[in-house]
Amino acid sequence: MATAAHATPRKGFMYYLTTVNHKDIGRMYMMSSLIFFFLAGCMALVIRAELAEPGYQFVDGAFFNQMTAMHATFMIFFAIIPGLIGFGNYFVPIMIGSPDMAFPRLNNWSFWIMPFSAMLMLGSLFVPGGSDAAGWTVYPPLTSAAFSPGAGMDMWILAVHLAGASSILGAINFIVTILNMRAPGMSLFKMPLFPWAMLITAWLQLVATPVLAGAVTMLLCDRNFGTAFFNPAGGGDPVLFQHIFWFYSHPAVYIMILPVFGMVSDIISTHSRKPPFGYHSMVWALVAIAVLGQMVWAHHMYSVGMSIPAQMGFMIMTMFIAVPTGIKVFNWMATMWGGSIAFTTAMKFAIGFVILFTIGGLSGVVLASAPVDYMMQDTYYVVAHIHYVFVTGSYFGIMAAIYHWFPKMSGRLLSERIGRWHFWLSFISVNITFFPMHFLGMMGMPRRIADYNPVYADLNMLCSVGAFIFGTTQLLLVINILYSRKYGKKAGANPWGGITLEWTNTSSPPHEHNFEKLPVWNHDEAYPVELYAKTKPTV
Amino acid sequence: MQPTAAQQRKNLRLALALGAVALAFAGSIIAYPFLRSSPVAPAPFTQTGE
Repeated sequence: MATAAHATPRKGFMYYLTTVNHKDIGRMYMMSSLIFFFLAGCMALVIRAELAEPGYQFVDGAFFNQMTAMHATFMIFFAIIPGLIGFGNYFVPIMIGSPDMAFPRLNNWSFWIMPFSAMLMLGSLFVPGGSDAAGWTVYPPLTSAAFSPGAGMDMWILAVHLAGASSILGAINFIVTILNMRAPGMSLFKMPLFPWAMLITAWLQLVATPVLAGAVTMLLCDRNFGTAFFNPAGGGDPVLFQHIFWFYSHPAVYIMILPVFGMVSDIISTHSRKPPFGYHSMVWALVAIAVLGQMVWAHHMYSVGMSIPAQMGFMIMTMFIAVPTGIKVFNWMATMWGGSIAFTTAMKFAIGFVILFTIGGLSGVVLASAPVDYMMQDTYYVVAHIHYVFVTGSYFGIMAAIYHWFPKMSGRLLSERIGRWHFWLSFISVNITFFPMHFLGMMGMPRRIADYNPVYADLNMLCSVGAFIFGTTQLLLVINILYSRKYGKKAGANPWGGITLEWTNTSSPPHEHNFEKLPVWNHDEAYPVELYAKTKPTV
Repeated sequence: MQPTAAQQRKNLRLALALGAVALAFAGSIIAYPFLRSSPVAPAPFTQTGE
């Protein structure tokens, strides 16, 4: 089925509209993700411009609220998750020795739902009353018809429905591909860590995303069809929405970080010329994080009036997540230990990820403590925590992956000189932006406000200066991609001396069906040490 | 490199099972408020008098 369609003679837009090749679709996900990174990044700069000084500078409170909601929504649903799915689409089939995804046409459909969803979401900003102004968490009663009467909120809900459908269809495709389409001889525990991470992520998407769809469907009914799922006046319960919402949205955090764990494991291993330390513990840590991650949703809502035993249960479970996460951090360090490390830009971003994500993880343990969370709830400490997880976590991981895999996708290396500037400016400015937010939070500055007490002014100015440097720095990535795809050094098939199938068995870029001949995995493990002798870095 | 018919059937069976899991999760979430509502306050279909 896939073969005939791959031979399509169409060109230009029609080619991309109809392509069923997983590499094309992967690139399309990555490109759209990059566009939305910049769009949502501009929204972040609107927020930081407004917050640079106390008082109202550039926007009014209502628009500011919409910016905070839209920034988060676009980053989560249209930048980070599609970016990771893009890498999964491109590399998972190759890394497991498959010529394509299990359902190529479904893959095309999963992608093309997303731009319509994004347009609907963006369009919601331009209808009377504007878009969602109640945060990306869309808690009722703020989002009820009484307090968010415009069509923008309904458009937000429908856009999330579409994004969710795309996500679920993609998840089914990933699970079937990884379980059924691996090369002969490649059992699950002989599979590299990135496909493992994508398998577990896809499972989380499959079970968590329908829950979000259920929650926003009920919200839509409450707003438009007279039901009272979340309206206490009709016997409903607004806290129920929070439970259901976080049942999706806490696993969503792991949907945005587990693939990065897999990518970083492979990148650190490749650029250290060593197999990942503790392969089995890495896999089980991924499983443990996913399982525990599904059972801790209520740590986002300690202050709604839960019983003390419930709070303790969620608190202890949340703290347990530090154990498998710690295993991964120590294993990444052990992988580098004694390795022949090449400090490429990809490796720099990966090491930057390990250091800075750990800060985000540790502030998560602080917030997991219910008594502390009562004080920190809805302060900038939470903002600092989540940005250390998503920016220095997910975003740095994606940057590492771009520098690592761009040569495979394009046949050319990204400029290391521009890459060095990109990394160091990002590393410094991201800390200038987000580290002071910990102090702002501890001083009591609430999040999602456009104006604030002047006592917070200095640190806010520092955050804003850092944000503008960080945002501008990201243009270096675009310059690097545009420059290197034309003038970059030729990469060859295996520039880093990698030992996984995308490096050893395909050209750069891989041809239409990935392999000349479908590979057979004749090794006893996922990262056979003997292959390092046969593969040498060429750069 | 086209998957065999047997492989395609195997893929389809697994995909349908996974789709059923997703529908079950969505369905159970929407069903839950109906199951927990009492005769006194029969949410979610109570008119709020608006």
